[in-house]
Amino acid sequence: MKRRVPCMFFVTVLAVIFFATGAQAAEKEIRIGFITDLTSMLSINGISMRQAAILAMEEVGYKVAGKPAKLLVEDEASDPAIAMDKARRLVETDKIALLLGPFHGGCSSAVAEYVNRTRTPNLSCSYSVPDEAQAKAHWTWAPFGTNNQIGYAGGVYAAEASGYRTATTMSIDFAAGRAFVEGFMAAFSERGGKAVQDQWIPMGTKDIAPYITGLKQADVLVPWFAGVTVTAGVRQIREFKVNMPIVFPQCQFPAFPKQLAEIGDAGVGMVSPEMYVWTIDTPKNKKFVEAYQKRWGELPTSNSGSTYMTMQLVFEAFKKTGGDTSPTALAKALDTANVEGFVGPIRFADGRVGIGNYVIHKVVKVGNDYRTEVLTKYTIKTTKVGNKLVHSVVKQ
Amino acid sequence: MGTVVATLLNGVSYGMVLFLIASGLSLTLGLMGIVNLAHGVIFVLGGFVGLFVARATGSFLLAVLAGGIASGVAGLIIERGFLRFLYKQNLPQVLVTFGFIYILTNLMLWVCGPQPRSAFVPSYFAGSVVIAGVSFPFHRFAIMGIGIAIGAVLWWLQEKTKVGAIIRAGMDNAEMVGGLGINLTPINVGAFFFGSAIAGASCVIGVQLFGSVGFGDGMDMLLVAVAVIIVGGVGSVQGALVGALLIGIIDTFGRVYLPAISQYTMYLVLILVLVVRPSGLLGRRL
Amino acid sequence: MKMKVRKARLFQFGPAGVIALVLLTLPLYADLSIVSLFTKILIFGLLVMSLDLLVGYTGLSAFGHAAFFGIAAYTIAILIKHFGITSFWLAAPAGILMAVFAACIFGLVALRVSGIYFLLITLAMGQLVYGIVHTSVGPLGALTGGSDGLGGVSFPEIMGFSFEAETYYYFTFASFIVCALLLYWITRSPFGYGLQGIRENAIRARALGYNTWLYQYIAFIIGGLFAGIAGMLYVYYNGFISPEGVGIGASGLLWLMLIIGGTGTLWGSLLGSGVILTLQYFVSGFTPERWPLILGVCFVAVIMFYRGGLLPQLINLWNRLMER
Repeated sequence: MKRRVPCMFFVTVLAVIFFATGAQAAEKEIRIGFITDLTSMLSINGISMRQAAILAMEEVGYKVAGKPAKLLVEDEASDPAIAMDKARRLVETDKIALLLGPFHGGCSSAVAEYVNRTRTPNLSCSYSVPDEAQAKAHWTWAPFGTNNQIGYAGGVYAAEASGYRTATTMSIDFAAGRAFVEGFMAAFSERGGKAVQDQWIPMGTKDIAPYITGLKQADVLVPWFAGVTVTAGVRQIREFKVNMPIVFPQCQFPAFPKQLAEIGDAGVGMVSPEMYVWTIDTPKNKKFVEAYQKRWGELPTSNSGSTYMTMQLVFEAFKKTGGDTSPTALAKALDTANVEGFVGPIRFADGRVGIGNYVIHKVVKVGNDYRTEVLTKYTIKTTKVGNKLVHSVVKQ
Repeated sequence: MGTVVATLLNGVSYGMVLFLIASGLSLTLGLMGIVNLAHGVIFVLGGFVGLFVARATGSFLLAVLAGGIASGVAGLIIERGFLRFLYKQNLPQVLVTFGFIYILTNLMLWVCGPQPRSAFVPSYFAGSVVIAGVSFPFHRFAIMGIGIAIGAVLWWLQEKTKVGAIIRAGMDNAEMVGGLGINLTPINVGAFFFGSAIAGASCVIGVQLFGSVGFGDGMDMLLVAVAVIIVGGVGSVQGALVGALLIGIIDTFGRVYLPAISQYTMYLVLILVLVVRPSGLLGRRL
Repeated sequence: MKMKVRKARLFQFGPAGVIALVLLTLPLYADLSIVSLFTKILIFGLLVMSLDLLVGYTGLSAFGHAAFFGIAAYTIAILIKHFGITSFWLAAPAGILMAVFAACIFGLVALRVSGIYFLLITLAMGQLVYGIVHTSVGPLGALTGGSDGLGGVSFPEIMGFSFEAETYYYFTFASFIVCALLLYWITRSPFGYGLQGIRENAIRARALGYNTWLYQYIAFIIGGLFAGIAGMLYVYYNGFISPEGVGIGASGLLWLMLIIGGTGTLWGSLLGSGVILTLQYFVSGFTPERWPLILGVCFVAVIMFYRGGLLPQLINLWNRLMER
């Protein structure tokens, strides 16, 4: 008798599930799907992205273009297969009008392939894929450019503003890492710089000391670490007394206030390009930082800022279509969008790659606090030459 | 030459951390026949608690102690709360600990947030030593020293004390030990607590080498520790030490000289050892 | 007398018939994503069954079973994507053969030990495969796509017929039935009884003249074969395979499905896979960020309180209802 209870429980669960799915007919509301990382190592990015998306939805009262709107957030768990599964479910069952994310590079490429087939408008909330993947993705808009594009901004800064001539690179061997470093070196070598050494660290390396001890001296060290390993990497570089200045082709953690404190003194002086930092000194940003802090009790990260901007872009697109959720109407609205962002306007160029407005910022210590200081801004544009994407600086 | 020496030093210090993690795992496996798959997560848990204490008090010793106790208590809860009811059913016991990987990892994410914690290097481990033209952080040598010291204590405990004799006897024949009128339960509980506590303490110590520890690092650490005890052999301190140094050095050299296979050099070594000696290099017979 | 037997038979197989009927007519009334979910349930059901042959019937606690699944899936995806071999009759058998081949080799190494050590060794070998497909460097990385996984596989075309989501469901259903019946037949054959004898008492089996090692080895290879078939079905269904589908997490999930359904019951595997995948499907709609926690609690709760499995209990319940 006692044994029967759990048995009945399972049967009931299954029954409920069946009826629940039957009831899930598409209603007259605008559904926005959002796939991001909520459980694995990249959840440090994903959680702040979700927070920003929720804040943006709350600000418009869950109403877009006069219609009720719903945000459906799913977890990608850093696994492309899971991301695919979730994308399929959001598109096929939940009938979303538009898909945001995923975050992880592999997940993004996998989902881009899928939305190409289903013609679902898909927006990246970050600079999440390499040029190569973006060139093949026809239904994915990248408001903050590609991996290579932001890396390019870093390279421009290193060569032009700092006047470095030689660089030594050290990166985790991973599609995104290669793209960031390639973008950086493209800009750097176009401006007369050259690499004296390229080191590729296998994924999953816990102790990067062997690579640090093998570093060759150059004007600038260009390291790239995947996600959370930045903290460890930067600390190890400093512990081994490497005295080269560091310019990252991309490094998010200086723009993550909590994590910046965690990196501590080792991070002071790091320079990196970024799509958003919380210290941008504009009234628009001040208002956002205040609202974000009030809602979530912490400062926004670069991913919060970019997701918030992407949401504004989404709202704008729906306003333009008048609430029409057909893919072609949305695509047209997105292609011609012009939304004011935190660094500059968000617009799209060739290959649906955003004209990137990036800040170059540097970590400084103020009292016991770690902050970042915006050094300069670059606008980088992407043009499609044949099947390849080429980046260049837009003079202001 | 400089690179070889540097790589060797890095490998040995990495191996020492692996030894500390694996020794606890080896103890519970040898004595109770349980692979505590949650060992890696318990390692990370100790690190989180220890680093929190280190920030608050500024004392490295207190941090190591706190990390050890936190992990020990977590291990104790798993043993007393769950494993005890599955007495002598090794397979279900292992599966329960597998479930705890998910539970503890997600709880840590929930409670502590997704940020990885960076290492606490006490002032007396700061500074560096120049060897073969490369400047090494001093704490790498400190870790080697601590590893050897803890290893010596563990060896003494297991080989020279009465409790150690009971443990060794229990590994060989638990029923016989029971028949001699010795109650193995407190020994088992103690071993589980102690094994977990070493893991927690070693995270606080070892994280200086890695730079930081994240909530999701448990699985990786578990897998390396499993490889160490399979290679070295289960149930002896010497086995864990030899396995850890071997894996540490080979893994480090592999990453520098053979990056193309570096993600699985460790497992290749493991399978090679198994083919030659199924019980591991210095293991008790199976 | 004859009537009674026929009635008993009817009662015995009635529920199975109803389930089969529900599954058979599913695409007629269910949403596309439910069909998709059930395709996945059937695939994982087969995979867990192949694990059950090892765990429930042979007593080999293999913890790296997802590796064979992954090897087949990866082989097929590589052949299609990099070598342009789109023919189902070339790619699919090649994938399954690779899984069998891997099982032959892994079995040789793993069967040198037994019990909990067998679990550890198979875990390590599963991770070896994970490490290989997770490598993003060099020619190997170009082949497998490293941590990005490998995609670009679409539903197969068999003898001029191109499959779609619904028709592929039937293909999966048919493959599942054939494989499940084969496995059922194996467990009821003298060979299967031999395996169970070894599981219960290896020494006695040896005394009776059984070559226990060979029996276990063959069972291990058969397990690899059916896991390979499941991998083949999966890669065509999902169009994508990633390292996470090969590693320790995937292997652990199979164990949970196995235990929920009931170890050593074969058909319980389908039930276990159904329960877990449906649960996952719905939890991800409510609190995706707490799924690992729920999974972990399920794991612990099922093993602590519910190890008998769902299928034996459902059968008991059914029999009791019928006796009344």
